[in-house]
Amino acid sequence: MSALISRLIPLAVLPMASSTFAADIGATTRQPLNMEAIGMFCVFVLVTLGITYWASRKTHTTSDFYTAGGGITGFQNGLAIAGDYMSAATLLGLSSLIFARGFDGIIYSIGFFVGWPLILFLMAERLRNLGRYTFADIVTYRLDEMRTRSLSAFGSLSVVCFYLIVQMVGAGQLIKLLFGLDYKVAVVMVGVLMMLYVTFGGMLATTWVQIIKAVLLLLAGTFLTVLVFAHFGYSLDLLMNKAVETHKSGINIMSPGNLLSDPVSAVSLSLGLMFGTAGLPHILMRFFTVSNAVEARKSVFYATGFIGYFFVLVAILGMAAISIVGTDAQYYEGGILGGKMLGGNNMVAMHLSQALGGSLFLGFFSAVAFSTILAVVSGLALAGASSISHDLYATLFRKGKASEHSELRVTKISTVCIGIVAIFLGVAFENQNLTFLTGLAFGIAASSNFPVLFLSMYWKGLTSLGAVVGGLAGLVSALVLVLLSPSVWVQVLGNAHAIFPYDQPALFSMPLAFVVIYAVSKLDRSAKGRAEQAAFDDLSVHAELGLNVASPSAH
Amino acid sequence: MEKNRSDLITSIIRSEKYQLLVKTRSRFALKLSVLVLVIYYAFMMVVAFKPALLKTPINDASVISIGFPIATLMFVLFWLLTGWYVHRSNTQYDQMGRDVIQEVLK
Repeated sequence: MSALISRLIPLAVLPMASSTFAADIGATTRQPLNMEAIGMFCVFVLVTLGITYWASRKTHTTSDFYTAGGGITGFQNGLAIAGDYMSAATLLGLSSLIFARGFDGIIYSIGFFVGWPLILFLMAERLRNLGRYTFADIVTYRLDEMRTRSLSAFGSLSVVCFYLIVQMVGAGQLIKLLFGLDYKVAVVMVGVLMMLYVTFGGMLATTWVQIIKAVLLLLAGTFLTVLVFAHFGYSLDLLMNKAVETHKSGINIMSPGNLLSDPVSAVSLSLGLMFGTAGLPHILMRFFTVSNAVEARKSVFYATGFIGYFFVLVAILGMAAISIVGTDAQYYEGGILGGKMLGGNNMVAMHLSQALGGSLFLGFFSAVAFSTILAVVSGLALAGASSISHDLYATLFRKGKASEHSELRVTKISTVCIGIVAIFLGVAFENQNLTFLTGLAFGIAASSNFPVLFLSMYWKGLTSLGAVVGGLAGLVSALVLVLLSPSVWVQVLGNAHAIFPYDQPALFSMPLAFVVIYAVSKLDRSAKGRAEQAAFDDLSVHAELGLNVASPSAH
Repeated sequence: MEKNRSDLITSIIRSEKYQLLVKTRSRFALKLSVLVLVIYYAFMMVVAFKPALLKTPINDASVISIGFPIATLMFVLFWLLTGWYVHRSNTQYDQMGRDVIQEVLK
């Protein structure tokens, strides 16, 4: 059973790269040139480039660049966070999963959702009160600058790198599919646009790209849902009845199937999703773009509302597609119902938009899906560039003595380098099965970034030694477990049996990190460690009260 | 300056108002977090071990199982909980925080 789950997980965990059941992404066939989609996408690009120009004139300082000067409102940031989370993969992947398995797919969408309330209750305000540009700022608030910042920067960059590859390959495949463009052209286009947004417009442009895309996605989803209800005479009962009538599993799509019959995998996945999200550098960075804790918590409230609403829409679309797309032979290769879906199994929502809204709406929907990838990729590039310029260059290499000007220059150079590397890797990995990279990105985020960040804010006893050793333990164990898992050991390296039976490492690597951090900190009796523990009071007061007013020198 | 700052921190830490704020807010946050986790994992355990429980139709005439409204309710409930937290922070904890600062700075 875990093999089935492992094949479904990657798409549940966001990237477009792996299509639902056919793990073979190379199988996506290039479609004829879709002029409506290209036209509408060009409009999106023009508007966003205009915004980038506007943003570039307002971006002068490092604070502008990394955090839009802290001037984003809670509502705007809520939309942007929702935008980061409502990726093309949640739209296409989840709707396809629900199309194929009914209620099982809905169980997954809840797993995506449940991390957000926790982020609000436990982290949002503290992140805002303690953080400046990167989450490493929080970790090093009272810990050793050199060692813990290196670890956090390394954790950020590996997550960004793995995630970026997955997104680039997904972008190339999706564009090839929807727009009928060549894969390499598509990858280069995504890379170049991303470089333009981030280099010139920094966080302000990136945030607005994300906001526009989120609004478009919510509008397109809402409109399609209205079309769906109109199709069924505004009767949810009829919609569900038709789905049960036409699905090959019949009434069984109404209840949990065998998707979660392996609870260990399910729990490991949900832990990775929940706490991995709280360790993704591009998500954490969003909390530094608002001016204070009030706006930070508002942004999660809005984001949670939008994400929840979107998942409900996706559930309706997936169930509706069963009787609309699933019974129409024109959406299947060779016209064989129940065979291979045209363009791959993740295309359910796209076919539904064509069936109900015609080719013009399909074009619009495709343009929205593409803009989604662009926005996510830009956020990742910005997070990576910030880590290089702020953590590595300005703080570690120049010991905090870098001028504003030189730090900004390094950020822009890093963005261009990240863009070039991303294009190169996107082309290089075109036909690879990349499911393991997502497991890796979330595994490292949940097992290294999150435990270190969380304990640095909550546990007085934490010392630098504990953070570094434990953070590394989490990182290495996540890496090794993924290497030995079915998705790498069997599918990539071609061995017969996986040494570690689960694709998601979080259930094992995350507790390991916590235990090691705890034990090493407890054993650390150095004077330095004592001083770090003593400095917790200062951190704690700032975290609780957001005391920047009282002490302007606040770190 | 450093001395002033550590004095300030010490007086805040010792302030009863501050301790009350920290205690009530962290309790509230913890309670909500546990609530979310308990509901979610209880649901997951039903899915894993008693999936038949979610199979019951919502009424005799419908094919829709109770799983669907339950799932929808979870989305709504978790969102409302975030709203509750935000509301209480805005109306209660922020004021308590301002009181602490005022008391210590005066």
